[in-house]
Order: sequence, then C-alpha cells, then structure tokens
Amino acid sequence: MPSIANQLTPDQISIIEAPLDAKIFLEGHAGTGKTTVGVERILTLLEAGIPGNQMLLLVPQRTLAAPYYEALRSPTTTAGGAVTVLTIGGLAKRMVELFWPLISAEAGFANPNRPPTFLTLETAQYNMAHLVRPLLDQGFFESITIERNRLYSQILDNLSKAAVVGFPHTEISQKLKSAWSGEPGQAHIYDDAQHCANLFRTYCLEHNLLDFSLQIEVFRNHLWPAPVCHEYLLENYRHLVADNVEENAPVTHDLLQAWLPELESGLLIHDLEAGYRRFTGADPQTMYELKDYCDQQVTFSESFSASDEVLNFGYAIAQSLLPEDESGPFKIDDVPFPIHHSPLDSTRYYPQMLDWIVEQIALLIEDGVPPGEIVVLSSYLSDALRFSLTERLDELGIPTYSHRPSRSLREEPATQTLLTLAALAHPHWGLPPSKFDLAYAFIQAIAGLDLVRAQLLTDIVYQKRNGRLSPFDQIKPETQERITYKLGNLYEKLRLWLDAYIQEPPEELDHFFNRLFGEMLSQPGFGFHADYDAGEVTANLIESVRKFRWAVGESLEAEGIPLGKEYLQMVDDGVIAAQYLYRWQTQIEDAVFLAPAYTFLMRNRSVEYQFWLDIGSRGWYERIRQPLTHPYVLSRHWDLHRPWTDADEYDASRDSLHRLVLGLIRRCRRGIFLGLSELGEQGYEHKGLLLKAIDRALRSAGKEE
Amino acid sequence: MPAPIDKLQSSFVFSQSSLQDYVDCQRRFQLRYIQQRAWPAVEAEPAMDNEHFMQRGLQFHQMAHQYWLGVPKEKIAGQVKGDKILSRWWKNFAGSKGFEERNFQNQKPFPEISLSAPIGDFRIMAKYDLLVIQPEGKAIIFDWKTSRKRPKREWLIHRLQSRVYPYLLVQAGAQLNEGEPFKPEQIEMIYWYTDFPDQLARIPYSPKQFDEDQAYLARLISEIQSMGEGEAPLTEDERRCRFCVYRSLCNRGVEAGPLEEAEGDWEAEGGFELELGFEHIAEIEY
Ligand code: SF4
Repeated sequence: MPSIANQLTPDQISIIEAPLDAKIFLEGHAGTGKTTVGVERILTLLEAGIPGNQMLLLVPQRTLAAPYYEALRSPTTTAGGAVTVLTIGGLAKRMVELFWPLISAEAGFANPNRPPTFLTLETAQYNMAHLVRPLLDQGFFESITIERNRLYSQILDNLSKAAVVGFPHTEISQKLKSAWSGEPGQAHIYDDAQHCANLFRTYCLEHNLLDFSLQIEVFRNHLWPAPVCHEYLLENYRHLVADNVEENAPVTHDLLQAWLPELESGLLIHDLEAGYRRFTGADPQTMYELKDYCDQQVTFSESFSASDEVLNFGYAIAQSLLPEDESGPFKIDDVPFPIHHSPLDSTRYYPQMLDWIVEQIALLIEDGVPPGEIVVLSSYLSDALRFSLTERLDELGIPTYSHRPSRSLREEPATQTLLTLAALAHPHWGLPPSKFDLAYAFIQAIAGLDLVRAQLLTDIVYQKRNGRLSPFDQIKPETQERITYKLGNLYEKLRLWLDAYIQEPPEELDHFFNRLFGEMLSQPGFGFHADYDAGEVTANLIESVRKFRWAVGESLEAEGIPLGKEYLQMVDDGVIAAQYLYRWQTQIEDAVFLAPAYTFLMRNRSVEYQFWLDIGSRGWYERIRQPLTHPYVLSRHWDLHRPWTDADEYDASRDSLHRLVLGLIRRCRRGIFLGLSELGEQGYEHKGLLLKAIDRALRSAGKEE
Repeated sequence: MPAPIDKLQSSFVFSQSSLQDYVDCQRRFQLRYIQQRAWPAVEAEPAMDNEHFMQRGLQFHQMAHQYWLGVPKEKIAGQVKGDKILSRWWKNFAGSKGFEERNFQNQKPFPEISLSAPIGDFRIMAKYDLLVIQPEGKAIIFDWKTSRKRPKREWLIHRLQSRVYPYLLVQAGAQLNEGEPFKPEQIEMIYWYTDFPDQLARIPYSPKQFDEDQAYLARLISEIQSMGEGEAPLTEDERRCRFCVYRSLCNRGVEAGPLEEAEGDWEAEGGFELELGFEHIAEIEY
C-alpha cells in the first residue's frame, strides 16, 4: 500500500483506487490534496501491474513534477518500466526527433534529409536579431522605444502564441491590429512584427531550425496525424496523469481531447482559480471542456495547507477586490487575520522595509521556524533587491536561495575572464581587450594577484595596439620583484600557453574554453583551481557557446564571420549569456526562498510564513509592457475587431491579482508579513490595487485604522 | 551558488555509468554525483573528433530507435548521406541479417526502454537500447557500441553494464514477461559493434551470476552510502585520469589523453554532457 495511506481521506482513496480504466477529472483549490492523489494514483497503477513505461505524466512546467519525481525515485516504489514525465514542449521535441525523416519534407523544411536543429530561447533570439537588425536600420519599429532584446523576444512570443493557441502565424498582426485602440498611426508596428515573424519562420524552414513554436506546430499538424507517430503514442502511453491542466495552452487541451477517448485511463487535475501562466498562453477556459471527456468529475474542497485564519485574510482581500463576485469565496467571521505589517512610521524608505523584513525573519527563526518554511515574495525580484536581501540575511547567518543566480552569466567574473582571454587569443577578430579588462582577467586568472600588481603588470606587458603580451623576463628586475617571481612565473605560463595557441589554427570557441580552463585556469596556482563556482560558470558558458555553434555555426561560416567574434559581440549586446542555462534547479533544502510571487506558485508548495514585499507596487497586478504582443488578444476567446480598452486592462489586472492572492494564501499555513514602504524600490510613491484591497479588507473587518 | 552537498541525495538514482565511475575512481563519483561539480576540461583529444564521435554515437542510437519504430530504412539512410562513418555504420546495421524485420515477427522488440528497481535505500535504472522478448520466453538485451575498437570479451564481462543490465531485467522485467520475473538463464546480453557487425559479443546470464551481481551491487551501494564527507580516495590507476575532466582538480595532469587510446566504450564513460544528455535524460527530460 502507498506509504501515506493512513493519512488519506476517503475521497482521495476513492480516486486513487478507482478502476484501472477510470477517466477522472479532479478539481479543487490549491492545498486540497489533488497532487497527492495524482502521485498515489500512479503508484497504485504501478502496484496493480500497469507497466510504468505505459504511463505519461504531463505537466505544464518541470517544477510542478517535483512531488512525482520524489515518489518515483523512492526505493519503496514498485520495480518496472519508468514513467515518462514530459511537458507538451518536451513531447513535441521528442516526437520531432524520432519521426523527423517521415515529416521533414511535408512540413516544408528545405533540407529534409539533414537533421533538425532545436533552438533554445537564446539561439532563437540570436537568429531573430540577425534577421531584424537590418530592418531596424530601415526604420522598422521606429515609433516605439523598446530594448532590442525585448523586441526580439516579443516577436518570438507572438509565434509561440500562434502555435499554442492554434491559429496561423500569419494572422498575428491582424489580431493585434483589430484590438488596437490607441493612435491609429501606431498600429503599423504590428505589421512590422508580422513581417519579422514571417521572415523568421521562412529562415527556420530554410535552415532546419525549430524554435518552440515550430516544434509545436510540426507536432500538431504533421506528427499527431501521421499514422506511425500516432500509433507510437497510443501504444506507448496507455495511461495519463495530467496535473495543473489549467496552466496549459489550448493546443494541449485539443491534444488531450483527441487522446483521452483512446487511452485506457486518465486523471486530469485542475487547480481551481489558477491559470497563472496566461502570459504563456495558459487557458483555463479551453481546459474546462476536458471535463466532458472524463467519466467521473470530482471536486475537493477541504484545505490541508492553509489555516482558517490565513484563508480568512485572503478571502477578505478577494472580496474587496471583486465585490461584485457573488460566488465567493467568503470571509469567515470572527477569525483573526494572522498578518503583520511593517510599521509605517519607520519604513518610509525601501531599505528600511527590507531591514524590517530581515528582522522579522530572524525572529521567526529564533522562535524555531525552519528557514525552508519562509518565503519572501515580490512582484518582480530585481537583481539589486535579491542582492540586498541575500546580503542582509547572510550577515545573520540565515541561508537563502533563489530561483536564479543573482548575476547573469555574462556578469560573472569567470565569464569576463574567459571572454577577455579569448579576445586576446584570437587577434584576427580585431577585438583587443582594454587594459582594464585584461588586468581584471589577470586578477581572476592568477591566484594571489592583486589589483595594484595586475595593473602594473598589464601596463608593462600589454600593447593594445597589436594585442600582444611580452615576456615577464623583459620587465625591469625591480618591477619583477614587486610583482613577485611566483606570480610572474604563472603569468609567463599563461602567456606562453596563449602564444602557443595563437600559432596554431584557431579552435572552436567552446573547445578553446575547455582547454583554457582545464590546462591553465584550473591548474594549481591559477585562479580557478578548486574554485567550484568558476567551474560551474565556465561549464555554463561553454554550454551556451556550444549551442550557439550548433545553431548558427554553419550559416556564420558561409558568411565568413568567425563564430567566436560574433559570440563575443552578442554577449556585449546582451542577446546571449544573459541567463544561466542549467543546474539552477538545485534546491537547497532548508533555506529562505526569495522569488517573484508567480515563481513560487509554479513550485506548488506551501510554507508556514510568507513575506509579501512592497505591497504598494503596481507590479503585483500590472502586465509588463509588451507593445508588440498581447496574451489576451491573441487568446482563443478574444473576438476579432473588439478593441482592448483601459477597462479591459483594469479588469484583467484585478482578475489576475485576485487569482494571485488566493493562490498565495492557499499555500500559507501560519502567517503573512506585509512589507510596506511609502517609496518603492525606484523611490516613487505608490499605492497600488493590492495595498488598497488590503486596506479595505482591514477596515471592513474593523481590524485597523 | 548552491551550497555544497556532502551526502548522496536520497532521490539519487544509480545507473551502470555512475557505478562504473565509483569502481573506476571513488573521487570521481564523489565529485560528479555527490557534489555535482561541473569541471569542463577537455575529455579526449582532439576535442572536435571527440565531439563528432559522441554526436555520431547519439545519432546512430536515434536511427536504430527510428528503425524499430517503423520508420523506413531508406528514409533513415537519407539523413546520413554526407557522413561516411555514419553511413557505414548504418549500412552495417541495416544490412545485418540479424536485424531483418522477418526475424522479429513473433517477437516483442522494446527499443529504448527504461527499467528501474529498488536497491538498498535507492533505486537503480537502466535504459536499454533494445530488448527483445522471444516467443519461448528468452530475453535478449542488445546494446549498440560505436567505439572504434572492439574490446576483449573478458573486459566487457567485468563492465558494470554487463552486470547491471541483466540483473535489472530480472528485478524489473516481469511486466514484459506477462507478470513473471525473468529467470537469469532466460537472459542474454549482446553487444553489437557498428564497425564489427559480425563480431557480436554474447554474454549469457545465469542464476550464479545473478546472485553474484546482487551481492556485488548491494555491497557497492552500501559502500557508497557510507562514504564520509572528506575527500574520497583518488584512483591508483593514473591512466584513467587522462580521460577524466577532474584531472586539474586532483593534480593528475594537464592535457587530455588521445581519443584513440580511450577505453573501448568511451561513449559509456561519457562526460558531463553525455551523462546529462543521453542515457539519463530520457525519462527526466522536459
Ligand atoms: S582525475 Fe583521476 S583521481 Fe581525479 S577524479 Fe579523475 S580519475 Fe579520479
């Protein structure tokens, strides 16, 4: 029997032990034990002899599979075939890889006999930049002010929306224009965006490149209908569990509608009032149609996660946000609000609010609350904010972790060192590093070399004009002594190594980094030796370069552009190496989690205490400005020709805040700390919807002046 | 940066390659699996040849998988026209009488199937290139090898793969055998070399071998569990360090060894990418 059998409710047991051919639609709010049912159902099917390799667990995002993994990796789980865990993107990619020879020609790829290249977000952005940059010089997008990278990513986002919502990508501008209610002259930017999207798609087809949107479209239009692929899916996956179905886009729901009747069993799990990933196309409305494809519909209502007090507070905010919503949820009278807020008189400024938060966290931990039971949430977690918090908590010895590292890959000292030395080792790129950059690289590369010595050394040995380094023994003896012979010797080793490299034909940049790291920088005496962080950063950088090479190497070669030079320039432009690529999923067991609120929701875990930072900020509900795309207008439900108005924007904001607040409180067991400062992170005064709603809730409960 | 991990995580899943790493060098196991240290040095020289070698290995596995799923041979062959080595491998595979469709008519082929079973406080998992269940109940494990050399049988027999794969099929294969666990004597492992298509390495399994493997694997895992927090011992066989990315960390040399001297199944040794990218990812990818 499942290990937690004695803690399960009869309702849970009846689904877990339902007949092996049951198709069940299970819904309920967060914290009502639905995922526990999903996990136990899989274990029960395994125990009943269903081969794991005939089961598919479909999740919208990898973080949501964590409880399933934990169970599947447990030694108490039955031996047998392994359960497949995939997102829709993962499934599409796997099918494209497997059945590529069958569909590459009919899907319109120009070189059907050559293998496909899957683009990462980074390499897709690069290709987009490559195509769009010349158009910008011709006046495209002239009338809007937007960072280039955001421009590229929004065009890619439009393509993804078309794919996951299920409309032809050629209709993007028509949809966006028809909902435009601003100045008529501005609507032409959508034509520009359409032109770029079309160009990108054509380019991908010509070069066998598949970004996320094309993977989904090829899967939906060519693979799912192809008999060999269809049979493969039906034969291999006879049982399906899909958790958080509301976070998927319509194309996944279409697939499930077609698949469910042919499956032996299915369990679809819907988190009520969620649908947080609307910006990626999540569509709770199309999801709801799946209910009719299941034989049994069950609703859970008992909450195991949140206390009545916490729920009461959340319901009060919810009512205050949407008073016209008569379906509830409703506040429970006479239950106190378990909240604390920063004292307004002493937290006028943002840093004061942070101090208060840190102080409260320290007090909780002193009281015996495990750090892992505390989360600090904000609407948007800037690098500066993350740094300030981490540093303050670090000083008190309180462990923290975050959803991503505090610096981007390109800002890491190890990355900068590697890139500087790469520029030096490839004089034909014509990108000689500055003296400042080189001195900085020497400090990182040579253990024990300080700033003063590094600058002195660089000034003497480096001639930027020809990009060459001169030998250490050509330095005056007294200066050699100042730098020290030990450090000079290491410098000399590095110089000779670089010199020897320059004499040979250049290698691929990623291989150059492998070699520079292994043969020099990580050797005893050098700066990366036994420095695991530097190893991790270097591995990330190499991975980024390698994927870049695999995605665009051939085209660059055809144009006679050295790949390494292009990579360095793209890093400078912020197109690539802007993020880490992998390994940041490692979760530290018992540490305070710092994250944007939606990231926390997508981890689907509950904690004892939550800190909501800067509740006056509009970021809690306002969409980030996306002038070239629109998650609502591009959804399946927006009527063509209906303009998107300010009122729509307000309703959407309020609705998303409503969902967010309920999502958070349902994942909180004991109390919420509200961080409030009169002036926000940027120093402006602000009083957004969340603050107003909390204020109203407190007043109506007579709990606060 | 994430804090260092001193103990093997309870969710760790053993594989033949992680166990082989332990047997080859405890320090390597500690760095790679317990502490999860990325250390991106060159694994074998020339680096580009090594990359091509690994990529071809992956592509060949994919092509074989496509074949078993029913993608026509000529369509598969079309993909590798420009690559002499892959074309040769494919010709050897497709031309091999043993793999002709008619030979498998009453048999059940399971390409790229993963099985897992509990072992001690952990699980162990293997991804099989091809499992064939014959009508009389015999189970054949095929493993495609793309190495340039065909190692001696004696060497192969002692590889962890030759022990883990049949052992796990006994432990976790019942569902492929109408609910009955396979008996060890029903199992045979066959290594098929892309460049030596007629020189199969056949390794039959037996109850005696199963008992030995069971005891051996249990001992290995309990040894690993009791590893202390201090630095694990470095291998005494320093030749291994030439093909190990951690050599600078262990002060065991500067340059990587030449690819042609790498051990017979270099592909299974793999590096970080291969570890993350092929054998282990199938069921945990997104
Ligand atoms: S370099 Fe040698 S001693 Fe160090 S981990 Fe690798 S194999 Fe072991």
